[in-house]
Amino acid sequence: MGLNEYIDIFLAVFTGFFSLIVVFGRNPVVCALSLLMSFIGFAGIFFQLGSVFLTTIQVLVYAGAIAILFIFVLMLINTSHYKYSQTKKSINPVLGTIFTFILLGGFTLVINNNIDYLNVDRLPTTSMKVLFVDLFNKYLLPFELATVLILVAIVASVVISNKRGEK
Amino acid sequence: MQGELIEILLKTAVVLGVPLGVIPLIVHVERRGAAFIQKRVGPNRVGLFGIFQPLADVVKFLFKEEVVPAHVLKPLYILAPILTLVMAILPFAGIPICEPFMLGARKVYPEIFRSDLGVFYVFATTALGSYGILIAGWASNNKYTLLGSIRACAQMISYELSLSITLVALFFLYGTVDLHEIVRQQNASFFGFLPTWGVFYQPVGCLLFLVAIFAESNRLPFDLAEGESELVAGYHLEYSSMKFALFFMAEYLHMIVLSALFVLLFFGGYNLLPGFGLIVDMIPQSLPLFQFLSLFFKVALMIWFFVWVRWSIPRFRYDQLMNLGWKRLLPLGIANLMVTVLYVYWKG
Repeated sequence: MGLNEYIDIFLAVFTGFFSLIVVFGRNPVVCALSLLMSFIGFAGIFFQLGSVFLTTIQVLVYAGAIAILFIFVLMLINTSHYKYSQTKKSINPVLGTIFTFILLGGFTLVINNNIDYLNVDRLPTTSMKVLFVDLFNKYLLPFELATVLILVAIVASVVISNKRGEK
Repeated sequence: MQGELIEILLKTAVVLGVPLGVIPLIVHVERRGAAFIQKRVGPNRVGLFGIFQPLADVVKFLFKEEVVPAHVLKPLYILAPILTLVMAILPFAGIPICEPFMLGARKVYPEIFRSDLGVFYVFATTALGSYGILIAGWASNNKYTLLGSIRACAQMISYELSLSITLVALFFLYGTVDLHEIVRQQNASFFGFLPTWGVFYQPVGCLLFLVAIFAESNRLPFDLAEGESELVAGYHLEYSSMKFALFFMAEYLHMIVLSALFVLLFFGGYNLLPGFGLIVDMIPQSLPLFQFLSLFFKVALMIWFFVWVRWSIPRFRYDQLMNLGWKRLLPLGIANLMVTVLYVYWKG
């Protein structure tokens, strides 16, 4: 095994570990920080796959903007009210585990059947020019649909926050 | 492979060593500058003009007792200063200090992390800078520190917007995101004497960027995070000795890297200062060195500007800060972007 494989394995373990903490951690702020770490782990995986652009955007948008808002809000609200309790007996963890495995199986099937399509060589090159020429020609419709979705989300957030203000 | 490794290590040594090495000097300049502006003497006892004062400060930092308060969340409390310093150092990897030059048969790029997304990398890592502060304030388990870090964080998020919008306008104007290409385009001159610096193309963008980097590096007049009169010392209240020094160093590193970015984008970057051209004509091999010196000189002037503003303008109130960021700078930045885009479009 070369250095690259070791880095890959390290990144996978790193990301997995912190993702698990996000789900099972007791302290909400620590969970949010672990979310940040897992985002950074994903960025590392993208880098290992050879897409510098995705890495940068992952760090800039997810780690730099989204995770910080989570942490910010968690610090502002009084988290001691929302204590995680394990005393209650509930079927939810069991169901959750089962569904997770079903989902995991589905993903494995999809990925295994499309392994050629998901090949790393098919990722756009690091050059931004090539990437955006593709984005605005070949994938114009999905791109525009995504922008409409974002617009709807923005309008929705404004409407919701306005309602709160009126009360 | 081995040659590449040596190259990366050497570049890391230069790009890391220079900023970390000049921090004590900057601290000294800042203290003497403060004294100069306030008509005091300032530290002048240790060595000539007090030049060894920073050394004495470092010794003090290292030998003071390190107090870890009992009420803190220890792992995060210890992690926070380290994270702050690391995040402050990371963006330096994307800053080009001179033109790519030929060393034997190999083309050497001066930045450690070379990709065609240079500026984005610098930006992405600068955006992570607020985490250290946020964690420090929260892990200290103290109301003052929490308030300080939340202030710092909200401020950094708000001003990052106007920073990025200015940057987008610049990308449209230069037609590239590569810092080398941006600097190369600033090498020509208007009417034979005025350099084609970004500041003349984008005066509004330059102003917005300047205000935003003051806010990003949490310096006065935007140092609400520390606000001594209301928050004691803000996010680093519970830290002592070397841990405090790490926060201190990170602030100066932020200043240096943002100044360097500002100079590269708006003030001709590493293009030679007048006079250096004569020497370079005689010894062509010395071009990278003199380009580095030009950048160094411009960044030094920027640092002096930071000190100058610090002792000239009083601190804002927090609502004023937010109003300035969201209601003035951001709309101005968007208008600037629209005008730039239309200009580029009509020009073809």
